[in-house]
Amino acid sequence: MKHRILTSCLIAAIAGLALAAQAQEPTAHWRFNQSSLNANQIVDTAGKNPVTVEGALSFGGTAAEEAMLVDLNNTKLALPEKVAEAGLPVDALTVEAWVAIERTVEWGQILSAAKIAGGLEKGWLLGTRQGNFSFGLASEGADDGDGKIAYARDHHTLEWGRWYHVAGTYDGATMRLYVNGMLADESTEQSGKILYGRSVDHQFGGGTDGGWRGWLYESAVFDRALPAEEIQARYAAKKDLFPEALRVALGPWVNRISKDAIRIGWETETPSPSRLLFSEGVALDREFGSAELGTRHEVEVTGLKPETLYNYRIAFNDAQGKTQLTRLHEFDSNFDYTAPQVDAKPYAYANEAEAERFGALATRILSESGIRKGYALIVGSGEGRLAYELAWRSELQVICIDDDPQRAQRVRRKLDDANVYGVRAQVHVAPLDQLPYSAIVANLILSEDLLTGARVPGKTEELLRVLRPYGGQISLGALPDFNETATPVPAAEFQAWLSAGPAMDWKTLPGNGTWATYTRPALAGAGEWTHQYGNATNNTNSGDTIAGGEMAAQWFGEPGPRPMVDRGTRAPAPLTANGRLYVQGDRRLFGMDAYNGTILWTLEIPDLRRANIPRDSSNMVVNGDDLYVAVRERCWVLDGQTGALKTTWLLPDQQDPDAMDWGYMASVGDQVFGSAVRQGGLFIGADGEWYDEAGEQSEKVVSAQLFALDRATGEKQWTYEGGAVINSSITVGGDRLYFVESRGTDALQQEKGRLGGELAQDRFLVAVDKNTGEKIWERPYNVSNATYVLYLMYQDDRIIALNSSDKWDMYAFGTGDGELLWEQHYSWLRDHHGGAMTHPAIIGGKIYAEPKIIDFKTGQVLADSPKRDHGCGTIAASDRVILFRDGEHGMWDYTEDTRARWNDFRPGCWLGMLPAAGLVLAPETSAGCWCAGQPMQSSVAFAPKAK
Amino acid sequence: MVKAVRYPVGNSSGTNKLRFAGNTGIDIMQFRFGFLLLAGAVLAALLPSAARAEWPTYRHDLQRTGVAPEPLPQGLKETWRFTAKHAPEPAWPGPARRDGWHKSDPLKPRMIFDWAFHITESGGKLYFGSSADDKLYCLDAATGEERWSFFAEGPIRLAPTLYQGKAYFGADDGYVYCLNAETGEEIWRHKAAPEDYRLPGNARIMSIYPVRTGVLVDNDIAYFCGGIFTFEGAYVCAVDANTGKALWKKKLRDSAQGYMLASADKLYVARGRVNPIVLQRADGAFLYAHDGAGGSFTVLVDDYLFYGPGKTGQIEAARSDRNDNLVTFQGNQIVVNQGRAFMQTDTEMSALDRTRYLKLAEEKNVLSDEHDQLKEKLKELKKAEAPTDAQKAEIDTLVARMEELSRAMLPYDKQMQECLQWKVPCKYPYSLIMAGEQLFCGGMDGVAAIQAADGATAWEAPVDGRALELAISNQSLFVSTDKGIIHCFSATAK
Repeated sequence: MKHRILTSCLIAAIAGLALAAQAQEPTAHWRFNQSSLNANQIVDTAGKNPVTVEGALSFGGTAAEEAMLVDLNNTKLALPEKVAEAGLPVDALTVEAWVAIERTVEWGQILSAAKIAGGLEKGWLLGTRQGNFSFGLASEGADDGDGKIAYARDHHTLEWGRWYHVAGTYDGATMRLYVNGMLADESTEQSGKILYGRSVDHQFGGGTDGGWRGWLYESAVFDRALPAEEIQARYAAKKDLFPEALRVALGPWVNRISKDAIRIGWETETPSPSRLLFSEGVALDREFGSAELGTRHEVEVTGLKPETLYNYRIAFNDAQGKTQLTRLHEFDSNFDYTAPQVDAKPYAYANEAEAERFGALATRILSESGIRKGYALIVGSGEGRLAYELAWRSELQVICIDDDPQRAQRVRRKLDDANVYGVRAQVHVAPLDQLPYSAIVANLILSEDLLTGARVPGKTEELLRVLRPYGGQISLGALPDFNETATPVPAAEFQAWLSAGPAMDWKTLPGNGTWATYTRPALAGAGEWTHQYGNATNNTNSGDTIAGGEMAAQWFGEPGPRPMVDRGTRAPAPLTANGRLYVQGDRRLFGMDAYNGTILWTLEIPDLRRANIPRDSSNMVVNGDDLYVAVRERCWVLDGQTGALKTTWLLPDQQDPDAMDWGYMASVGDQVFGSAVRQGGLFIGADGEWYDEAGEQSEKVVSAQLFALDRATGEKQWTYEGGAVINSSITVGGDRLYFVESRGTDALQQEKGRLGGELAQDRFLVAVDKNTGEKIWERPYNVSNATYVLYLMYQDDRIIALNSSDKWDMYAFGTGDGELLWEQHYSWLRDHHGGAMTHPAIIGGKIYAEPKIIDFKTGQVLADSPKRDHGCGTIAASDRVILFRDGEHGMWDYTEDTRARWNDFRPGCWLGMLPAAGLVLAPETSAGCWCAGQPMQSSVAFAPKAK
Repeated sequence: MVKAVRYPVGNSSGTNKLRFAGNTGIDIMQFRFGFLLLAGAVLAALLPSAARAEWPTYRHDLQRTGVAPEPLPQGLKETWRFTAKHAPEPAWPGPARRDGWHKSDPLKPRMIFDWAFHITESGGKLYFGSSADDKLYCLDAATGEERWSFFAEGPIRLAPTLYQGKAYFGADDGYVYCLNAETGEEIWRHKAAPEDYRLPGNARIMSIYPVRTGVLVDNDIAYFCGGIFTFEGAYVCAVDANTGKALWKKKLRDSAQGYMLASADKLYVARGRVNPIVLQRADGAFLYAHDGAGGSFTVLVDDYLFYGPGKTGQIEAARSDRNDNLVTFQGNQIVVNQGRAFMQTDTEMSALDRTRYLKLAEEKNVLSDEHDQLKEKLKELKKAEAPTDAQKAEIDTLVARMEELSRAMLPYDKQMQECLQWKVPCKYPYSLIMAGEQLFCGGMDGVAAIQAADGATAWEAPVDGRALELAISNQSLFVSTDKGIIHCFSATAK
């Protein structure tokens, strides 16, 4: 991108000198600033068509002179609709604009004079198509009866917030699109006069997709096609008004720290002062300086209002010391998942010494267990003192259980007087040995009754039943100082109680047999989902053997629909490992407790977004307690428990941070694998794009380089550069990476990081050593085309490849030298709603590949897969069940051949439900769906019902 | 801890002014309304307090009309406010910002039953349940001082129903409670849940069978639903209101969230995001589910059920004996009072001759239904590759009749538009009720009275937060906000 801009600048400068004096005679010209505003109209300085503005008006922006903020959800910018009245050009046309788009939509119009409805396509429009500038026009020569618009389209992805000069020209024979003075695309589909109806939708913005958001500086229309030199000159004449740098070195990122406060962080290239400019609207009149001269900057913004949209930019110094501004970021204060704040008062009836003792104990328990969020059960509530001390010292939800209703009532009153009842602490009346809770739910289990000497808390097997695995802790005992009024439970009795239950690895305090802790380990039989398709082999199978059979809800709640990708369309899958669930919403991450749904942390990253995963790979994997997330040219390494940014790794060997993005991602053992994709190659999906059709939506994202890093240090181990590596094919199995790459001339030369029709050319199946990157073998991938999708999976020394073009074509290759072992071909279920894209799963000796079940060894079709209702996503499997959209959340337990359908929720349109961690985990993915059939929008998890 | 502030008479922090519409020239019609208002206020002031109307259940009655039986007096001033220890903790968050597939926004929340504390009033006492601290509160309606409170074992999300000296409510713990409304003592509790299974839900530990329909009490029978998950089973129950003893219990295939309504022979159950269902009142048997865009706001008036706010702010109207919707209004909420309907959108308030409008809509629907049936029949006939002469003749007849029907439908749109009586800009989009000839509506940090006759703003006052719930009783207006604050506006200090 930078290279292109520099080249265009040079050409434009030369052209500008030659053409500076040439007369320029637009038929309309608008300058979008306050001085051009006459009442509610932007004057037309060249013609007779002022722009009538309805709605919100804001001026500002990053250009040297002010521009107008266009938020087309709130603003309408209308021009005369009668073609004759508007004096629209007929024989030839140039339409140009200086524009900075802060948020694209699927079809965005900058300036249009078009009529598009049903089959009707007339007029012209300069705008955007997803992330690219485009110029469309209909002519009499290509009229098919009701008009037909052809489009020229830039294949570079525009950068949000960056200023561009965009121009479309038509000379009666050729349409041309220029971006920053350079020819971006041209089309000769049209000829003759421009075809209009009697009236057109003549406006800035508009269209059925609602509006893009951004800045308009200037726009003009000519009744002739300006030659390339003149376009370049016009670009050159004003380009210095518009800044180039838009990005800080890293970030920004946003952490919520309380109901009314956030922390925004970022890094600058060099140590320098940096400021956050923040406000409701775009005034950005609240300024938060980072006083320290360093590269890492963090500021706290307080006083936030609920349910409010804020905007912010970061002011920073570039390498030349010049102050630059980032693009306009948005912060939505709806996204608040912090625990309710309480103004805790001293616990009623506790004397000072008692409060000190209980407080010290609570502090010690919190510190030693490391558990500060989730659910704590106090089995045997005592007088609620421990509950109170835990509640206000942590973010735990504390549940006291007591079988004495009178005492429960007394404790409630005390906790209520202390301001913590309900929102942070509750008291339930229930038998201590028969707790009414879902299993494996509690993070921490304590007992005040035992502590104060009254009694043991029910049965250890019941405590174990409700204790969460992966670190849930029981911490119990009687301490001398706490036994004021009752006879302590004797040490021998306590020990006998511990021993009476199931075998548990209790730790007792040395020299004191009356305090014991138990930390529950991993759940035997629970699988993990660490990569998009389960693991790095892409077999879509967690290996979980627990989830299945008759299931009950385990938890439900946040995150709800607002932070999620609309309908989860082709979005990255959630992941789970070590008892945590990681969910990627729309530019934000959630770290959650898989067993009780507690949101451990959230992190908002404006540059975090990946879409069209069937034609790409996910941007997120987990290995142990580390979460790896690809954001632009870096991998962010996050602590799974806290969400803290531990470090970031840059793409290796890349000089220009704007040239390449981090594409593929996997982590196995001590390694992290990645790939470099040309900037603009990744699908972003900013506005509910569906990615369900052939054509440009099914272009495959390709990588120019593969590499491996040391997971501990981030140091590069090897790189591989061959052809254009198809991201959706990259598979890690055994000691190797397998992938399909295309080495056709077009593939190697293409600049956009995606392959469409070129994909059929010179394809090779390649195996490289995962430790060295050395190529082990390759073989031509001379099999069927893959218009829709191309997947590879690995299992048991075989590579299963799946192409879809007009049907499914499956191939099995040996890993020895890539020999073809068998192939199978079968019809699609449908060519829409994901029917041509479903990713298969390997389960035991079978490949579950809708609509067939295929023998892994022979390729023979064994059976049809069970039919399911209205679907749009793909499947997720374990060693027991397959999950899918069956209208709603659906499950097939193939070991019992039973079906479950949870009618209250609608899943998303890719892979949003996981059969792992011993559960079915289903974060909310319906988001913007109207979904009149499902009564709730909620994240939810299911667990097997106790037998 | 009670934080009640009692203001002396006349010391209002609001912009309390009652004015006749059009300060610069009162026309006869407006004057007549003003006179009626004044007369009503005087009459109300003369009534003994014991006879004053109550607000014993959510939106006043079992049909949730939101219409108080008597007008409020002039000169409303804030007389007290109660600030709860904790703001409400709603069960569900708001909707997505945008429907990207349909390119549609902003979307409306359709599970909006607990974003503020819901108030009922009887016998000079005001009641509400808290979703934050799980308590049912009883306040002195005259002073805002707490009289008593009662703990449930989970959030109480909907208003209690007051009936014959008792307070009935359900909670997320899966129980329905009956308390002595005077003392707060428990009379009985009934477990709606078939089992005591609790799980983390909506950030609390709660029953998998929460009672989120409130409790509808009529003729000594209390009706309610327990459970929100269809896969776990939800139940509609009828119990003896005096003893809590079960009369009948039916398993539902539906998720019940939002208030129940009742007619003489039917129960209407809101279902969160989706459309209400209708049950037989005698035994809970399922009758049908309504069509529409969903939402948990429901009002039953005469033979019509109104519900919404749909996807982007629509109120559906359906005949209460049919599942298909008759007509759709733009609006978040609606009040229907006798022959008029008042609709509230995000930016406007409007009044409609609803009797005529619905009559026209029904007539048009008859034509439209026939047109649709003929269209289907025509489609079938046209499938024949070589139609017989008889079929051709039938096609011609159908086409002719369809054209006739289309012509007949044409005048209706205009006539229905003419039913609009007035439409005014309105900055109070969150809540709407009515008393006498005034509409009371809540907005951001404020509440207002609008003249039903012409939409003129008669009175405005500030409140703290979004005024999401309103109630009128005991000659006072009660306003409940999302901050957990209840404001009382009265004509005189209590």
